[in-house]
Amino acid sequence: MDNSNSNGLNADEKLATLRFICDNKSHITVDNNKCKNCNEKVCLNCCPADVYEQIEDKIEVNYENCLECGTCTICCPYGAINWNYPQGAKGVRYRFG
Amino acid sequence: MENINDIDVIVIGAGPSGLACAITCKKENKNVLVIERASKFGVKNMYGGAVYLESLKELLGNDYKNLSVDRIVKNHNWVILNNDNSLKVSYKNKDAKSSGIITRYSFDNFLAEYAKNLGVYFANETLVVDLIKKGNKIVGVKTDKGEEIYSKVTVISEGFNSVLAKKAGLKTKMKPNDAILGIKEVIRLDYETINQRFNLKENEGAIYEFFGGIKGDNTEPPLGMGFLYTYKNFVTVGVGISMKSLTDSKTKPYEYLERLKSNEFVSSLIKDGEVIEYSAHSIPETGYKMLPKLYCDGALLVGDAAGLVDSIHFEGTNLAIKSGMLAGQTAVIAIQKNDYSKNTLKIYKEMLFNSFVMDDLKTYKNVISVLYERKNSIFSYYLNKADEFFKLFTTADNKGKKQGYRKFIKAFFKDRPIKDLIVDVISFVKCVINAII
Ligand SMILES: Cc1cc2nc3c(=O)[nH]c(=O)nc-3n(C[C@H](O)[C@H](O)[C@H](O)COP(=O)(O)OP(=O)(O)OC[C@H]3O[C@@H](n4cnc5c(N)ncnc54)[C@H](O)[C@@H]3O)c2cc1C
Ligand code: SF4
Ligand code: SF4
Repeated sequence: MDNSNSNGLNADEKLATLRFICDNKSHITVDNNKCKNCNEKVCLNCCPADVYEQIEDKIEVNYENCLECGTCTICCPYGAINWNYPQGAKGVRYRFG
Repeated sequence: MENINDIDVIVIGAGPSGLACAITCKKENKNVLVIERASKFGVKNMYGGAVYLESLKELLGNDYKNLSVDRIVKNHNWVILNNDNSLKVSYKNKDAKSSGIITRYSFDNFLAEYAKNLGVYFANETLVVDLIKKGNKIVGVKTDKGEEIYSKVTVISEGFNSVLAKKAGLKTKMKPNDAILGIKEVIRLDYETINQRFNLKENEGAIYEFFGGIKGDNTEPPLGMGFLYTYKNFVTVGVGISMKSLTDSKTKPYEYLERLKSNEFVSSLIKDGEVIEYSAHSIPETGYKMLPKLYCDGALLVGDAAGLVDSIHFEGTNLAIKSGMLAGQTAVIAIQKNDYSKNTLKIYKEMLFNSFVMDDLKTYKNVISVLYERKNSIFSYYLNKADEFFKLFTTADNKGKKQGYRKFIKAFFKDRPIKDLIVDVISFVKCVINAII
């Protein structure tokens, strides 16, 4: 990524600008049985918060960073992602949306 | 809340569509409960930045003047970025006052406070997890706190993700072709610097729309565009990328944003600014062609949840407000008739089709699919010949945009482009013609 401009931030730095109230349980689950046979692995690159991570042959979900945009469930070609809203008051909180 | 057993209308979600609906019902003395999952109004919501005052005036009458915006839009720019070359079409109107730049936090709070003062009830920090059905009829909601609340009419104003609209069978799951992911950064710059850099006076504001300049790793350009809005003490810079383009490439959403930001034209505007917030939110592109069911026994669907967005202009708050108002009027009629069945609630759809909301959606019904089919030529070569096209993207005046398209077509045939582009032109013009006839 080209970070030569003065205010270019990497993904972690971007997420660090945000405030979250963390839910104690994940509002997202993936069915790793479906992921096993998935070659595209779109979840790894369509999410603006890098919530999905491949660890060995499993997809892990860092749900704490979720921005609730809904992109992942729409993009996953195998319907492996079960997405719900976080509980009331939980999740991301924008100040300047 | 005293009258929890006596709620006429439950509104799910305190965005512009839900709040417009609540205000409309309360003005007719109905008991309204708005349920919002966020801890404070607006903190779940994100957009580019401009609201259209005409729709607000229709909702609030003269009280709309109490809204205090960061800046009034006086200057609208369309910029084609081609590596480090740029072509800018700029429109400045000193007298313009049709749209204002304001955060969703401030805007949603303004509407919610207004509704509260009228006597609308609110349940905050509360997520509606399910709809209660009696046979086929929706009669209330279940919340994450275990409550069951009953009402005569339930209005689903959940916005883009609309989990409940899917549960109610009003809507099917969206596909990557049907949606755009928007991400943006809020970049702090001081007031004087903004006025100087953007050539603005006092509370004048500017909007930029960027075409090109967001190349991914693929040779094919993504279907997407960039935007910039000037607020009082910061600017927002973002990109909207079709989810289809996201699935077709390994480029991450924020890499597109960084590429836009590092383009010479854009970076000179945001130089030395500090990024104070990153955010993401999506825009439905289901539009006219894939309109969901807008009503069923006991419930109405409004705003983004119904896909009522003009995704070409990034206009949604005005369509949301209008649809919320019409849903409110429908609920009031249903209560008067004591009939909450489809038979009465269908009035909502009829009113929506007679309003500018459907006019605008109809105008664009084929534009998006042609953009997909022809995106290579349009987003690469065509961007160079596009100024005529951009002149159409003018202010929102609740009147539809047919006039502009008529002019566009005239100009299109006058400067007929070179031969091998004719195929693109034909299919694009066909859809534009379709839109205006
Ligand atoms: C990147 C981007 C830029 C945009 N730029 C502009 C612009 O400049 N101008 C413009 O006019 N429009 C713009 N839009 C579109 C505009 O933001 C939307 O069309 C508009 O906000 C839709 O309003 P709504 O009320 O339907 O939904 P929302 O504003 O999404 O509100 C929905 C509300 O419901 C709540 N909610 C959802 N589900 C539940 C539940 N189950 N229980 C309780 N609460 C719930 C949410 O927390 C939220 O507060 C933009 C959109 C995006 C993504
Ligand atoms: S794209 Fe879907 S199926 Fe494939 S790995 Fe990701 S979650 Fe699993
Ligand atoms: S909703 Fe958006 S931010 Fe959250 S995991 Fe899915 S793609 Fe990532």
